[in-house]
Amino acid sequence: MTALLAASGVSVAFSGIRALNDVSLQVEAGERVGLIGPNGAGKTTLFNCLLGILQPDSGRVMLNGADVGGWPVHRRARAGMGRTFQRVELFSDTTVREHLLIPERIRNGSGALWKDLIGRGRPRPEEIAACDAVLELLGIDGLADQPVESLSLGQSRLVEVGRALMTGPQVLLLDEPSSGLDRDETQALAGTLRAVQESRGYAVLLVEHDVSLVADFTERAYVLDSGSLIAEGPTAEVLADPAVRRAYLGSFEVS
Amino acid sequence: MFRIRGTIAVLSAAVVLAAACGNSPSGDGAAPTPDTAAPTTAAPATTAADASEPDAAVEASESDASEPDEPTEPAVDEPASAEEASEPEAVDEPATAEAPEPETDAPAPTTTTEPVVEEPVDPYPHRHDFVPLEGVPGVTDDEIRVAVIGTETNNILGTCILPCFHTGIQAYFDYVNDAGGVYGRRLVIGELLDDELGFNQQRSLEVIDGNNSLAAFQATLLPLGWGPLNDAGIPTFTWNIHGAEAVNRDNIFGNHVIGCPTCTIRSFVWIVSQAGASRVGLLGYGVSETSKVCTKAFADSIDLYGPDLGMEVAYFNDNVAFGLPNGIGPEVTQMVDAGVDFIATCMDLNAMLTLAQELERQGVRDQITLLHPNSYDREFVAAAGDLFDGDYALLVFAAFEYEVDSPLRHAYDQWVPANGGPVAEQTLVGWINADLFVTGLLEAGPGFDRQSIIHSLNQITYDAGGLINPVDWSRQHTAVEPFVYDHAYALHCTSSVRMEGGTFVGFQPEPWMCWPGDTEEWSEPTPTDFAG
Amino acid sequence: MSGAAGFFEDLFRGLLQGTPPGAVYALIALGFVLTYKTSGVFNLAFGAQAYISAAMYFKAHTLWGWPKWAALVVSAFVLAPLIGLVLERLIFRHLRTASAVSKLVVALGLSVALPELFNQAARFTAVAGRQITGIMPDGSSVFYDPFGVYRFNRDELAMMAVALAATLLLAALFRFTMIGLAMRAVVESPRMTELSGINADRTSAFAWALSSTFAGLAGVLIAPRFNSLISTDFFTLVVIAVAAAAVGKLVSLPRALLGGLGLGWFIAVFNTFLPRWSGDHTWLRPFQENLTPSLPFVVLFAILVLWRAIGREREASDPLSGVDPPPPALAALERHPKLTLFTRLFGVGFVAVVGSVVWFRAGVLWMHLVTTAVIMAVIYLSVTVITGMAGQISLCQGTFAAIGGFTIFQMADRFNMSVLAAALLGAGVAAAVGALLSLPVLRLGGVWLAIATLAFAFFFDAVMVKFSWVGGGTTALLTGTRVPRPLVGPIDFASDRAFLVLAVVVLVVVSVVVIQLREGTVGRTLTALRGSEVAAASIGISAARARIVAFAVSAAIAGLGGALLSMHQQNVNYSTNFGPVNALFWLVIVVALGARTVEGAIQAGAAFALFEPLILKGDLLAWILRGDDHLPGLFPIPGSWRLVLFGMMAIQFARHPEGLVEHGKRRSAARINRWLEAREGAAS
Repeated sequence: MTALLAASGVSVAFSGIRALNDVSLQVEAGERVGLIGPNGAGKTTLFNCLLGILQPDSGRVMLNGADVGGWPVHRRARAGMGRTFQRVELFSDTTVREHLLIPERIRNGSGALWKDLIGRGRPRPEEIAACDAVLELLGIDGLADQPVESLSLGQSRLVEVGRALMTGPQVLLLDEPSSGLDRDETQALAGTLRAVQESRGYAVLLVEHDVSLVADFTERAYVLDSGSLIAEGPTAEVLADPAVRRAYLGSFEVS
Repeated sequence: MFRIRGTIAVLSAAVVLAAACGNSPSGDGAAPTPDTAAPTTAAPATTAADASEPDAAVEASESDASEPDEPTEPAVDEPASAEEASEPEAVDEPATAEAPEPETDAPAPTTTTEPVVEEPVDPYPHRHDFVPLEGVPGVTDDEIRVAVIGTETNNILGTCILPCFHTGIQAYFDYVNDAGGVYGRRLVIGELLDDELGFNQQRSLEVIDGNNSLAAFQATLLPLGWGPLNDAGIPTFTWNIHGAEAVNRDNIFGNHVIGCPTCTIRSFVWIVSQAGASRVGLLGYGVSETSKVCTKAFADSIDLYGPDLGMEVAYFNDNVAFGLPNGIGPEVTQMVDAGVDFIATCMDLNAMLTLAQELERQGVRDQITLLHPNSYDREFVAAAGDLFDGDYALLVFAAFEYEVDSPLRHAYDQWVPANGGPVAEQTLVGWINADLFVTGLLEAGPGFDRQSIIHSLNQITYDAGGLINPVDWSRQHTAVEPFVYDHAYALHCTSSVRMEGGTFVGFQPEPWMCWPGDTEEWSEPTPTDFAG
Repeated sequence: MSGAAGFFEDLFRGLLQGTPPGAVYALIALGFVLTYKTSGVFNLAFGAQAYISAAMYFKAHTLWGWPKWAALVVSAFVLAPLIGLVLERLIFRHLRTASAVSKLVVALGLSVALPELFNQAARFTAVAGRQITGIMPDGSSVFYDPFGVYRFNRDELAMMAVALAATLLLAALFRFTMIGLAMRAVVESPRMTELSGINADRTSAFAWALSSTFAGLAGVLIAPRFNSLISTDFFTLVVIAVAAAAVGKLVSLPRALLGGLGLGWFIAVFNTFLPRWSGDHTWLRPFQENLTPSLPFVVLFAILVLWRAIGREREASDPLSGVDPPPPALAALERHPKLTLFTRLFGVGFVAVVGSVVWFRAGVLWMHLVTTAVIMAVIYLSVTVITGMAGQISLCQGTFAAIGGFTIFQMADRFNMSVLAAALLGAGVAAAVGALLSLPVLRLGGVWLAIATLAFAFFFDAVMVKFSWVGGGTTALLTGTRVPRPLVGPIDFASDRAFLVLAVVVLVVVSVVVIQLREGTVGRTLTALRGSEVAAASIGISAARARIVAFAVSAAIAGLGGALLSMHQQNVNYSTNFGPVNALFWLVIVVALGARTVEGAIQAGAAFALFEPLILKGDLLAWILRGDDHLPGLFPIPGSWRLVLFGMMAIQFARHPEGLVEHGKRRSAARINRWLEAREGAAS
C-alpha cells in the first residue's frame, strides 16, 4: 500500500549544520496528521521539502506513489498538494470571492491566452457557484465581496484554506494556523477545519506548535526535535511520551 | 512630452561629425558647369548665376557702387540699393578682384571662357518692384515673414545654436532691409521657436498650421520637423548637420550638402601631408554609424592615396565608447606603440580635449598632430591654451582666417557684430541660409510664392559669395553612393586652419583648396577663391 | 610587444590605466551603497545630486572666480547635505515603509527633476568644452609616475585617495560608532529602532545628509573627467556603477570599492588586449567591435543575471510591520448606480465633443498631437500589462517599441512589405524578444529586474541599433529611417484624418485585449503573482510561465505602438522616441497616473502629448479667454518646468500608489456617493 504523501529518509544540512536527519513521514488519504516540535526542530524545513520549496540533500518525497523530488512547487500543487501560510499570504487588491476564483480559473484555464482574448477567460457561473459553496462551507459567505485587506487574521486564514480547497487538494498542508490567534479564535478555527475536512475528505498535515490544537484536531502525530523524529503514533500517545514532554519542557502542560 | 537626452547626445554629437567628414565627396562626373566656379556674388542676394545669366557673374561688384546700378535698375529705386555707407571697404575690392579671378579658378578652366563684364550689373534689377500679392503665406504689403526654429533649451552640446543662428539671420535681414528690403517689403522673423531638443516636429507643425510664414529656418540637433515642412511645400533652410534628413527632399536647402559620407577624401590626405606625417591613427565612436562611416572613409582615403604619398594607417579603431567614460589610455598607448604621428578622429570637440590630455600624459603630444572635425570654436580653442598647437581643423565653409573678398563676407563682418553676434560658425550658417532664401525670392521674381522660390532655387548653383563650396541645387538634393558623381559637388574642396597658441591660423594660400570632382585621381590641390 | 615581459608590462599598464575610471565607478558605487544602507532607497537620483554639486562647483569656481576650497565647501559640504536634508524631510521620511519599487519610482522622478530645478534656479547651462578644473592646483597638468609605466595627474590621485579613504572611514563608521549602527537599524526596522530609544527621524536625517555630502563630493571629484557638464552623463554613470554596487550586494562598502575598481580594470585590460588578439584571431573581431562600446552594460547585465546571490532574498520587510494597522480597505467602491450612469454619460459626451472638435476643427498641429496621444496610450498599455498587472518594473519598453518601429522600417525598405503587415510582424518580433529577455531575468524581482531591463535597453542602444539589419546602417545614413504611411485598398492613411482613425481603432482593440486579459485567467494569474509569489505557486501557478507571457504580451503591445508611432512620424526617430531614458519617463508617467487601468494609460498618453501645448503654452486658457491676447504674461511657461512638474508627479505617486487619477476618482466618488445618499435619505 502506498501512502498519499510520503517522505523517506529526508536529510538537509545548512552550511554543515544538520537541519533534518533522516526523517520519514507518511500521510494516508483522508487522514489528519500533526507535525509538532519546539522552535528550531526542523518542522518548517521538512514542510518546505515536502512542498518543493527546498531540495533535500538526500531522501525522497512521494505523492500518490510518484517521486516528486524534482518537481517545482507549482507542479506539486497541481498534483494535489494544497497549503496555507503561517504568515498570511493573500493576493492584494481582490475581494474574497475574486480571490477564490483565481485558483478555480487556474485549474480550468488551459490555453489561457487565446481564450482570454476571445472572452472565454472570464469566470463561468458554475465556477462562481463553486467558490460560493466553499465560502459557505467555511462560514465566510458574508465576506464574499469584502476586499481581502479588510479581513481579520482569523478570516484571512479561512480565506487561505478556501483558496487551497479550490485547487481540489488531496492533501492540505497547514502551516501554524493558530499563530497570531487567541484561544477562542483558535478553537473556532479548529472546529471549522474539522467540519470542512470531514465534508471534503482530503488529508491534512498540520504543522503546529500549539499542542492543544494538535491534540484536538489530529489523529496521528510526528514529533521532531533537533532535526530528528523522536516520536510518532496516535496523537494522544505521542503527547504522553516522556521524551516528547522533555523536548517541550515547560512549554506546555499536558492535560 | 518628456523626451530625453541621453542617447540623443550620442546621435547628435556624432551627426555633427558628418558635417566635416562628408564635406568633400569626390566631385562630379560631368564637367563643372561654367558658373559653378565663377565668382558670383551679389550684395543682399548673392547667387551663383545660373547658366542663363552670364552677366550675373559680374554683379558682385555692383552692390557697393550705388551709381552704376541705379541706371540699370528700373522703377522702384531706393536710396541705397546697397549699403555703401555700411561697408566702405567692400567698395573697391570686388571690382579689382574680378580680373585675377580666372587663374585662381584653375580647376574649372571653362570659367575663363566667360566674358568678364566690366560694368557691374544687378542681376536682379527687379529687386524693388512691388507687386500686390494675395494668398501667399507670411506675405503682406509691408512684410515677408519667416519662421526660425532651433535648439536652445536642453542643448546637450553646450554650444550656441539657436541664438547664434537667429542672430545670423536677423543680421542678414537687417542688412537687406537697410538697403530697402525685397520687393518693397521688409524681411521679418515672425516666429522664433525653441524646439527644446525634442519638439522639433511639433514646432514645425505649428509653423505649418499657423500658415503665417513664407519660409522656415532650422538649426536643430534633432531634425524631426524637416519631413513635415518639406511635405508641406515650405522652403526650408537648414544648418545641415543631418544629411540623411535633407536627402531627396527638394524643399530643404542646407548651408552645404552632405553628398557622399562614404567617399574617399583627398583633402584629408593632403592635411596629413601638410603635417609631414606618415603613420596615421584613426578613432571613431562605435555607437554612431555616422562616426564609423567617417572613420572608414578616412581609412579608405589613406589606403587609396597613401602608398604614393608614403602614408599608411597604423592604427584603426572605430569602436571607441562615446563620451570616453573610461578615458582613452589603452588606445593611446597602442597608437604610441604603433608609431603613430597623426591622429584623425570622427569625434566631438569634448573628446578631442580628452584625447589631447591623454597624449600629454603619455608624453607624446609634441610628436602627434591631431585633425579635429568639429573643434572650430574660438572660445574652446582659446580655453585649451597651447594644448592643440599644430593641430588642424577641417571646415565646410571658408574659414574666417582667410580673406574672402566678397560683399557677403564684408557685410557679415559688419552686421553680425552689430547684432551682438559672435563671428562664429553658427551665425555664419544663419547668414548663408538667409542669403539663399533671399536669392530664391529674387530668382522667383516679384510675383513669388513658396512654389516659385523652391522652383527657382532648384535650378541654380549657389556659393554664398565664395563662403561655401558651390552647390548645384538642380542635382545635389540626392544622396550619393561612392563613385556616382551625378549628384556630388563639382569640385572637391576644403577650407582648413591650423591651431596655434589657442587661436586658429590660416595656412592655405587661398580660402579653398580644390580638386577636380570628375576624377578621384590624386593631384595637388588648386588654391581657389570662389569670390575671385 | 612579444614575450611574457611585454605581456606583463601591458597588463600592468592596463590595470593602471583602468584605475582612475575604476575609482570613478567606485566613488559612485560607494555613495550608492551608502544611501541604500542608510535609507533603504535604491537611489538612482544619486547622479542628479552629484551633478548639482559639480555644476555648483563649476559655477562658483570657473564662472564666479571663487577659490577652489570655497567652491568645494559650498558645493559639496553645504549645498549637498542641504539637499539631502530637504529630500529626507519632504519625501523620504514619509516613504520609510513604502515598497522598494515606489521608492525607485520616486528616485527616478527626482533624477530628472533635480538637475532641471537646479538649472532653472541657478540659470545654469552646459558650456561646450569648458572643462571643470579639479580640486587640486594644476590638477590636470602635473603628472606623477609611481611605477614608470603610466602617469597619473593630481586630480586622479586625489580621487583615488578619496575613494580609498572613504571606504575605510565609512566602514569604520558603520562598524564602530553608535550612529552607524543606528542608521542600519533604521533601515531594517524603523519601528523596532524607535522602541530601543533611537530617534529614527534624526538618524535618517543624518543618514541623508551624510550620503548626500558624499554624492556632492563624488560629483566634484569625478567632474573633471567630463568635458562638459550634462546631467544625463551622470545618470548613465550611476547605472554603470550599479554593477559595482551589486558586487557588494548593495551593502558592502569594501566590495563596492573593489567592484568599481574591478570594472575599470576589466574594461581597460579588455581594451588593451582584445584588439590585439582579434588581429590574430579574426573570430574575435565581431565581439570586439560590438562589445567595446557597451561593455559596462554587458557587465552589469551579466552580474545581475549570473550572480546567483542577487535577487534571491526577498525584499527585507520590517518584522514589526504587523504592528501597523492594516492599510485602509481599498475603496470597496460600491458606486452609486446613478453615479455610474452619470460618469458613463459624461465620458461618452466628453469623447464625442472632443472627438468632433478635433475632427472638424483641428489643423495639422492638433491632428498630430491628438494622434500622438492616442498612439502613446497604446504604448502605455504595455506598461499597464507588465507593471500594472504583473507588478514588474520594466525599463526597456522603449526598446520593445523601437523593435516595432525598426521592423516596419526594414520590411518597407527591403521588401516593400505593407506597413500594416509589418507592424503586426514588429509586434511579433518584439514579443519574441520580450519572451527571450524574460528568461534570464525571471528570478530577479523588484528593483533588480528594473536595473536589468535598463541595462538591456542601454545595450540595445549601444550595440543593436548600429547593426544595419536593425538601425539601417548605410541606408539610414544616407536617407534616414523613413517609414511610409499605410495604404489599404482605397484608403490612404497618408491623410492625417484617416491615420487618426486607424490609431483610434488600434487603441480600442488593444484596450479590449488588455481588459480581456485582466478579467480573464491571465490577469488573475498575474494578480496572484503580484500579491504573493509563494501563495501563487501553492495554487499551481508557474511564475516563470506567467511572467514570460506577461513580458511577451507587453512587448507585443509596445512593439505595435512603436510601429504606429513611426508610421505617424513617418520616421523611426529612434533616439527621440525610444532611447533608454525615454522608457523611464514612460514608466513614471504611467504609474503616477494609474498603471492598473486602461483609463490611466489613456490619460498618461494625453498628458504626454497634450500637456505641453494645452497647459504650458496656455492654449487651453487662451481658448477659454477667447484669444491669445488676454493670456497672462507668464505664458508660455518654459519647457524645463515640465520636467520639474514631472518630478513632483513621481513624488505624489509615493503617496498614492494606486495612481493620481484613480486616487482622485475614488475621492470624488466617495464624496458624491455621500451626497447622493444624503439626498435620498432626505427625500425618503
